[in-house]
Amino acid sequence: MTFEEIRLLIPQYLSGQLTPAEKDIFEAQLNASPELRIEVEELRSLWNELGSIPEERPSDALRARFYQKLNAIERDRSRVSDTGFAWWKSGLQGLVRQTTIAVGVFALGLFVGREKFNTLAPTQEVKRLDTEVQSLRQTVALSLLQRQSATSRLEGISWCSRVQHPDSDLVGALLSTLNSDANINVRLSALDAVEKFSGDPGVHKALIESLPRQDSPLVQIALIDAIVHMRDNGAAPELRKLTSDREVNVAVRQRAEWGLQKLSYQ
Amino acid sequence: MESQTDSTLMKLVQAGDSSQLATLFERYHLGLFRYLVSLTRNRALSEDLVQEVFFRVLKYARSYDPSLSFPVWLYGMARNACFDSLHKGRAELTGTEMQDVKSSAPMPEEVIARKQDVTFLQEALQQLPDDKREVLILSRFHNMRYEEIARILKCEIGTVKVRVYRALKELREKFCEVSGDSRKTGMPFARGGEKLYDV
Repeated sequence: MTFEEIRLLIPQYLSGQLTPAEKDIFEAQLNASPELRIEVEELRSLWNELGSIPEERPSDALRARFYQKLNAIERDRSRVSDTGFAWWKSGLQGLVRQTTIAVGVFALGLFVGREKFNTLAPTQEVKRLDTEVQSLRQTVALSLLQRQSATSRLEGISWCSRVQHPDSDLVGALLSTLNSDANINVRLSALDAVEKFSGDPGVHKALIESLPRQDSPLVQIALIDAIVHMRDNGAAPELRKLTSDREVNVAVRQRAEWGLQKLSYQ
Repeated sequence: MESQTDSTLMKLVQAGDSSQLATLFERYHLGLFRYLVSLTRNRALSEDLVQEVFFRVLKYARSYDPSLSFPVWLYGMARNACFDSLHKGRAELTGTEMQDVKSSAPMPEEVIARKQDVTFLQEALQQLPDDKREVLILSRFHNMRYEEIARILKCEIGTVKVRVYRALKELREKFCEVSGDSRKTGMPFARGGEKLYDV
């Protein structure tokens, strides 16, 4: 192997991907060549520094949209679909369509009112109407979260994300959904929605407290990710419990170990 | 309690149990999102693509060979979906929105300097040519082996090997440029990264 070929192995050496034979050759060269040692140390520093770049995270809407679509596919597979525009029906689609139309008409009225009576409508009045729209969305979200169908509850979580400043009732309902909903997909979507408010110390604490309550590995892993993202060392005891519990799913234990490493690094 | 392997889950999906897609989504959606952001530099588009890729998994499940690596198949599909999308002109390549670094209370100088280094490094990474950034991200952030990367990119392993090395060298140069300091990471960066190979 030429010196130039050995230099090409540096990234694999840094990531521990060399075969034992390649590693032996590389390390022999490393001992013999000060030039290679300097280059490896330069690139090692950069390689390690890359690990400090914050990981991009998708918005909370991604998971909710995915599960809504997955649920719709499963539902369609299990029954003959009704493709008519039955907005007056009493099912979820009817409720959502009715609510969407109601909010749309309300927003249109608001817009027309603002345009027509611009001089008469003070800013405070517009703000009041905006607050009412938010309140209406919140009411719809709470109503949907209490429904029996998982698809309705997912729709409710989707409505939660449209509320800019949810009150404690809505945040409480999301936390309750996260802790006790029978459907894992709904719990995962609730976690995404409530994570947005993790700046609130109460929510922060509630997320950590939720960890020992979860029995689904999927939810446990998502919760560990959320907690690590919050960079709260207070979560370390709960993570340690998971790593030492042999009954816990292997993937969850590994994720908890990863979480502990991340928290100690931060 | 043991986790089901990717190929076991895919066999169930192939048999019509679409609910198993949820577990695969939970395993891979974050990594896939990061990979797609690195390709598109557009978060909203990347979210749409993540969703699209997972439903392509459902649609083309029968074409998956369980003896092969699922992540390689998934990332290859993501790459195709991304290029389909870019060709349709859906992407607006206006640059990645850098993730905000949360800050509230005043921070010690060394913490500020460290955060600044990370910002410089992100900027340097964004300045790399697309092909080099892609291999470096797959290798460094997704812990993929060169064989896997070569299968995703449909190229030779030797090409991946040269490209990752050159990407790392060029990243170092870019980092020095944007940070305006040849010793930013505490290493003797002043030598500069000479061009050694052509792919």
